[in-house]
Amino acid sequence: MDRNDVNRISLTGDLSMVGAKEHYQSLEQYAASQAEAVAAGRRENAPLEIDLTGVQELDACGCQLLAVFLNNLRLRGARDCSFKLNDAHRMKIHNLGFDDEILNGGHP
Amino acid sequence: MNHQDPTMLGINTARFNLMFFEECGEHLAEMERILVSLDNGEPNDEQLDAIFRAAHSIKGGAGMFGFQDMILVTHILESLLDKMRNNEITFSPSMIDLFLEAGDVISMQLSGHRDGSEVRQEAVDLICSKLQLVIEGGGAAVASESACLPAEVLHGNIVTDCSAPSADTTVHRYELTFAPDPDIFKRGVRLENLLADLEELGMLTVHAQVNVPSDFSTFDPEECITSWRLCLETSASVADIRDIFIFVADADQLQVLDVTDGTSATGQTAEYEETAPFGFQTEEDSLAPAPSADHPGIVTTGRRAYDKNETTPAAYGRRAGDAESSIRVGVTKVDQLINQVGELVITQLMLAQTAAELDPVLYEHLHRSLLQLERNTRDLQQSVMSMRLVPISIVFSRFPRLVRELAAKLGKQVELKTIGDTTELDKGLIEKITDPLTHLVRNCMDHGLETPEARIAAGKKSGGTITLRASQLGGRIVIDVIDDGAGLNRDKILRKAAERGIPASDSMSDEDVWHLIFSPGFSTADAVTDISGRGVGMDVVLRNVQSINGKVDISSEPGKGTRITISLPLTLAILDGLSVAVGKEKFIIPLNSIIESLQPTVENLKTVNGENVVNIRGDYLPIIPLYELFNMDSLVKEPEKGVLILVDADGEKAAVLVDALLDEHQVVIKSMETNYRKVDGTAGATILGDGRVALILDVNSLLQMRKQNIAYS
Repeated sequence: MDRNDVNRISLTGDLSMVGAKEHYQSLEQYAASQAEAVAAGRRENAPLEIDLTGVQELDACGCQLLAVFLNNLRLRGARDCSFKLNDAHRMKIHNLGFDDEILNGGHP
Repeated sequence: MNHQDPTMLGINTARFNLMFFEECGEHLAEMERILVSLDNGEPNDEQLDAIFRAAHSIKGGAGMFGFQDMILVTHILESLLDKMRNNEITFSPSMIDLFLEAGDVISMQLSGHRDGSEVRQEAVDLICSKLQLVIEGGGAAVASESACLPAEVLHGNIVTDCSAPSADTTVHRYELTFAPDPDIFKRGVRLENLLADLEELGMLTVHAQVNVPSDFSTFDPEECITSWRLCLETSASVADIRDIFIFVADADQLQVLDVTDGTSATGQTAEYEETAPFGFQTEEDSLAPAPSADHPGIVTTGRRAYDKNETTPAAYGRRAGDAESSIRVGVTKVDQLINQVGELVITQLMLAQTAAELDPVLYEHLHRSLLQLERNTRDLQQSVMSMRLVPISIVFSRFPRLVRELAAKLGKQVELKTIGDTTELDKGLIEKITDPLTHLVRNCMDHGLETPEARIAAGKKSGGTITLRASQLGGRIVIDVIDDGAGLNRDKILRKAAERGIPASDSMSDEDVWHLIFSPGFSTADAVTDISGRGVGMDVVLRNVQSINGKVDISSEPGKGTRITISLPLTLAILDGLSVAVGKEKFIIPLNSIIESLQPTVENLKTVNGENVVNIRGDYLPIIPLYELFNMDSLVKEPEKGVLILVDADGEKAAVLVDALLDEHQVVIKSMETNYRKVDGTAGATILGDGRVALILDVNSLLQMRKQNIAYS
């Protein structure tokens, strides 16, 4: 995962059961840093962009991880979140029923 | 254009076919095991589910490989079983025979695809007719006669079958709630595949709901905390939908709600399927994934116990957990590995022999390392050899049905007990021991056990018992076939032996008399039946067992029963032997053939009819000079100057003359036929530590050679 000052997260490789733990660690670090910022009164309002174009494998386990991560950020007050992803991944997310949880900002 | 290499394609297809054949055989065996264990009683839900699952898996695999004929039979069988599961058809004991018969037909079709053996279409048609009649008759009667089905059902596309999904064209709207096990990801289940299968049934919409944990830092990304709400518009039945989840969800993890006539997903006017053993749940209940064992204090319903070992390829990765603990490897690969380890052992022996000439003080480290190498290679060899070991339950599992059918045929009541099912022996031995054991069990049934009337008259309970017991004793596997029947009749055996000109006398010990039944053509049966009694078999049993270095013993007591004991080596790949020198050559004599060795005195040596014999405590044993048998030069030609090794081959004893005894070895057996050509008197060869080849003697064959030489002289 790459992070920069504009709150962009790039996920690459295997976002499936195989690579879920590894991605979780990176996302957890990011979530923890956000939590620290909130606790310190430095609420970050910059939009978040998640880049999934480097993801090669995506399955229900990976979608669930994304959904939990995004829900966690929303609970901490994160606002806009956009995605960069290809059609295959968009279709995969749709077929697995995660449109609302991931792409629609948690709203049905 | 992308061209595929047809050769590669052929290899891959064959490999996967083989996997299907093996798994199909396992499913059929499991189906048969359950059916036979019912003993005409009604199967419980778990047993019925397991039989259904076996049929379903075979159908799924057959479909994957395009074996349409198998799909046809399994589909009708599956339809009948499904109706029984849904209580639409009531079980009757005669259905057990019908299902066994169906299993036989599927097995025949399997053999047809695997080995190219003949598939009798009339048998296929007949079983399809019988199954279909039961389905149509609602189980009122299990047809015993042949009935004709429309040709399109018997030979045409499966879709024409009346129970196929397309039979009902009404489009239903179902709402499904699927809350899987938390470990579903870890099991490797591909939910995409499952949803794709559902989509094939009709219009599908999917909505995932994640039960978001309050603390992201304690979240386990590999645990499923998502449930799915699905809406499916299809003409398929609830059973068709449940079939898709059969290997993935327990009944309480999947709700299927038919909302065709209603509008509410909360079930105000909708009807839940009859088979669902649960009622309405709160949204929290229904959407929460099944609790995990990792969460203490929460009752885990988990998967059904009988699903734990599911092995079907259609299980959507259900056996991912199992895959970590076992893999299927071809026997050829294992044998190749065994051979390579055998070569390694020989290399290690060579090193040890070379190092033995080096100063132990100067080369202390080398010697210590070589000792470690020896231990490691032996451990490695044992580990590799154990890969060829399979449980004897593979053989034992075929007998419940055999006993059941023979008991019905003979009008006898028989209980079969098996002990030591997990005892392991070499796969090659398993294949060779199956027929002899089958013959022994048939003999027990036919001749050993009495009729219920005769047993009651003899003061026994009406039902007899046959016990198959396997155990490991040292380096050998012992299999007992025990019956509590009438026992062997000594007088009758002696009388029959005399009638057939088989040498026998009243002074013979019981043990020797019992062994007469292994004489070719011997039978005490008063009548020849199609089960046994022709006197062809017991001699074949003995020969087969001996061909794999086994032994057969009998003990019997009148009125109490008979025990036949087969003793086998653990494996055929290595052998404990004694190395001996003859001239410049070395030979290995199997230790299990050796009685003793001695240096004879001139007084003990005699010549009878021109043949040298040695007097061993009053018995005169023929002397077999190895140098003479193998046309070799040797300085030791007089027995008193060499060593005589007394050997026993099936009760026949002889003294083998060698120059000297060398050492005891565990040797790796190499096939002479494969590496050179057959050499009479040998059972193979091995490579010794000095790199030289030593022939392994076959004592039986040596005695035969001696007899031929005498006849030739």
